[in-house]
Amino acid sequence: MTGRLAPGEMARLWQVLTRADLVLICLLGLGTAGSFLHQQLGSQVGAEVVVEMDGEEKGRFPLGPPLKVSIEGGLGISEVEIGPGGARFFSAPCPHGICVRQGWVRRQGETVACVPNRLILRIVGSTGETGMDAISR
Amino acid sequence: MKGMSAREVARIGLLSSAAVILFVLEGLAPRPLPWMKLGLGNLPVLVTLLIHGVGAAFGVSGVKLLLGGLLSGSLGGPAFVIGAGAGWASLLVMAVSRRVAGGRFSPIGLSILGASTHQLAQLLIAQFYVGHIGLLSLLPLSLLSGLFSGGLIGLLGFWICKKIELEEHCPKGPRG
Repeated sequence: MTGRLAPGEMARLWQVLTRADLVLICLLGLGTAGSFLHQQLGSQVGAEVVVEMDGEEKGRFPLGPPLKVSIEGGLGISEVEIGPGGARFFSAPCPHGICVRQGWVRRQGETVACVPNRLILRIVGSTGETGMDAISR
Repeated sequence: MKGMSAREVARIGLLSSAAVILFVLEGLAPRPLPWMKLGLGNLPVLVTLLIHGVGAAFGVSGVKLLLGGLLSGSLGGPAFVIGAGAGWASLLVMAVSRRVAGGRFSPIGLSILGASTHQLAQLLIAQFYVGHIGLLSLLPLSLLSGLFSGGLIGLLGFWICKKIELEEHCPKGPRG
C-alpha cells in the first residue's frame, strides 16, 4: 500500500476497459450526439413563453419586445426577462439560483424549471404546441 | 450483516465516513448546474460495492444520504429526495449489472452505468416535482456528464480498490 502509481501504471489504466465498457461508452456517446442533434435541428425557435406553477398556467408572453415580469411562486417572486431572443429567469428567491444560471431558452419545448419556487418557463409555438413528441408522466 | 470480520466492519465504517465527508464538501463547491456534479460522494459507495458487495454499498449510501442530508440541511427537501432516489436507482443498476454481466463490465463501465442511471433518474424524479421539465432538452447534457463523471469516478474507484484490496476483488473484466 505505497499509495503511489508505478511508472506506466496510469498509461495502462485504459486497458482496464472491457469490450462491454467500450460498447457502453459508444452507446452513450451516440445517445448524447443524437439527442443533441435532435434538439438542435428538430425543433424550431418558439413564439411564446408560458410560465407555469404546479402545471397551471400563470402567464403567457410573446417572444417579442423586451419585457420583465414578476411572478409569485411558492417561495417568493421570480423575475422573468423576455426578449425577441428568448426568455430566462432574471432573478429567483431560491437558494441556489440554478434556474437563473441556466440562462436563455428560445426553442420550442425548451424549459427552465425552478424546483424550489415551483415555477417553470416553457417555450411554445404560436399555436401552443410544445414541440415535444410526447409527454410521459 | 452477520459473519463480518472486525476488519470489514472497520473498513465499511471508514468508507461511510469518507462518503459523508466527500458528499458534504462537494456540496459546498460551486458548480454550473445541479446535475453536473462529479458525485465524489459516490466514490466510496462504488469502492464498497466492489469490495464488500451490494448490502454494504446500500449501507454506505444510506449513511451518506442521511448524515450528508443532515449536515447540508437538505434532508427531506426536494433535492434530497431526488438525490436519494437517483442514488439508489444507480446503485441498483450497478449491482444488478455486476451480477448479471458477471465481470463483463470493468469497475469503470459499472461506474459509467451508475452515473448515467443517476442522471436519468434525477430527471425523472424531478418531473414529479415540477410537472414536465422538457426531459428531452436536458438529455444531451445529462448523458455527457454521466459519461465523464462516471468514467472518472470509476477510474478512481478501481485504483483505490486495487490499493486496499487484492486485485481479484477489483476485476478487470474478462480475466487477462
